[in-house]
Amino acid sequence: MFLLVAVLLAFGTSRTGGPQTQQDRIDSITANLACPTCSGESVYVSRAVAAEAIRAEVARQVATGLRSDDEILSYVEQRFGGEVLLVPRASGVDSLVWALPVAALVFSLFLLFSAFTKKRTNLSGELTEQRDFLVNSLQDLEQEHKFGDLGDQEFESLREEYESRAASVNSQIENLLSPSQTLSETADPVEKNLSRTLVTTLIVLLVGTLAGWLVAKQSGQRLAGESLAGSIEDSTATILSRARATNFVDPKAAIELYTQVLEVDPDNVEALTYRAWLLVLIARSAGDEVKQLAFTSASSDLERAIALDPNYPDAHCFLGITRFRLGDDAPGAKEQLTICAAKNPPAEVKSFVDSIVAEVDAALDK
Amino acid sequence: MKSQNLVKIVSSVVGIVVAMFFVVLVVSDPDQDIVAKSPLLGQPAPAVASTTIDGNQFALERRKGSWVVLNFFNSTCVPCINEHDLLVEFANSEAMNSNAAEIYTVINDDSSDAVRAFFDKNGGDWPKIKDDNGAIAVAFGVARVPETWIIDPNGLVRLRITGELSPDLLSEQVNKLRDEFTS
Repeated sequence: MFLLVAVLLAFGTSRTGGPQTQQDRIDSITANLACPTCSGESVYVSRAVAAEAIRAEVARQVATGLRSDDEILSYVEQRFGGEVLLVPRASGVDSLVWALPVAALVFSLFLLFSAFTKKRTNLSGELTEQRDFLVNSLQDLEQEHKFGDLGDQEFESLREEYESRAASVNSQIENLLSPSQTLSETADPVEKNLSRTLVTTLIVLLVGTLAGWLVAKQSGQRLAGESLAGSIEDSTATILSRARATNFVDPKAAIELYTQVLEVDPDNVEALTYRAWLLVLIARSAGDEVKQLAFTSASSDLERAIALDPNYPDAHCFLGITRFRLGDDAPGAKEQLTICAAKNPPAEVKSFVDSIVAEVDAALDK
Repeated sequence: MKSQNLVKIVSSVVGIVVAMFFVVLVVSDPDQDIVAKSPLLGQPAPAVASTTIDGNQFALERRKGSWVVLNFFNSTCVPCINEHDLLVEFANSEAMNSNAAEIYTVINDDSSDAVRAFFDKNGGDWPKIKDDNGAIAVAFGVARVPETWIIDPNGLVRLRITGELSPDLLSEQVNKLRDEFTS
């Protein structure tokens, strides 16, 4: 049994021959993905629109070379759900698909082994009983002959028959026993040895579970872990969302989060823009010196953001407000606010701009 | 004797579990909720970028600060056609809101000309985003159209509606989410 499990595992672990080319990688990944709109077809074979879109996305991600096969599978699984995986995962409830049959096989083999052993023990017990009966019968026969209840001829005939049967039974018992076993050992019922049975059961359970776990790990679909699945892009997206939610609740914490993003991705336009904007908001209630420092720092970050992405309206809007509030520069503010309005800022940013446009226009009219 | 009892107990337990399993299968209703599940709910929206059929740039992450409604659409899909009037109605009602949700159509396996002709005929002046290789659909896990997604001003995915919209469903859901967001 152990040998069988070991051979199977050794065979499984010795699998070789991963994809060699980009097309091999695409084929291999898509063969492991179920078409979300078809029944029983993989993305590799399906010509459905959704399957073709997934295939195109897999090809794009393989071409960029930024994600491993497991990470690409994880990307698709995180969008379409676990049912898109044709090979069940090696973790969670899915792993039972792999582990249970192997564990069941180990348990079944153990049960079969136990059943045969018990049957042999039972047979041995029956033969022993039969032999004892024959021996007792021989003793009774001798007693009856001694007291004259049996004639010589009849006694000899019966004795020969009993001896012959006893010899045959003895022979059968010897054939059942292994050389190291004694009759007294086999006669002990298994149930009497409770601790031995418990230990054996525990070992079988352990071996079965371990074998199932190994097969699940070896054969199950391995995905990049939840926390490791994300690329830099995903990680920064999560931090940015947290920062965004913290913006006006705790601006200092939000600034720290934006700084974290900029440490990973120094050219992140959103982080540059919003860190600068929160700095301006905090500095508004501070002294002139702090305001001047904040103005210099925020203007620098906002101008950099605009240089990186001239079409990002938020940076233009905030630079316009900053120039007016901290730099007392109405013309410079007007220039940026005009660009901001033309680039269709989001509702939240537009509300900041709407509240200042009239003031800027009034300052320009003076 | 002991082992016979054990077999009876184990058999009974297995039988009860199997019976309960079938009862659950028979009694439970299939999930027909129009507000669908997605691994993306509560997560940052995928950073998708493309162009509109009018040639303008679109980057979803640049729409943070606004509520965004993405409607995956195909001009030949009957439920998409059926729900279109509801989307127009929703867009008109949002135009009067100071914190208006922005609506975008994401074209799914359809030509720009067909979509343009459809909107010219049926109304709806919001941007229509091209998704030529289906990258946006895959990023959101959209397999069938129509689907409608709601993204909050922090860029988090808040709701996924699969299938045809029912009257007022979108307005109700957006208003509910907006109230939750501001409270």
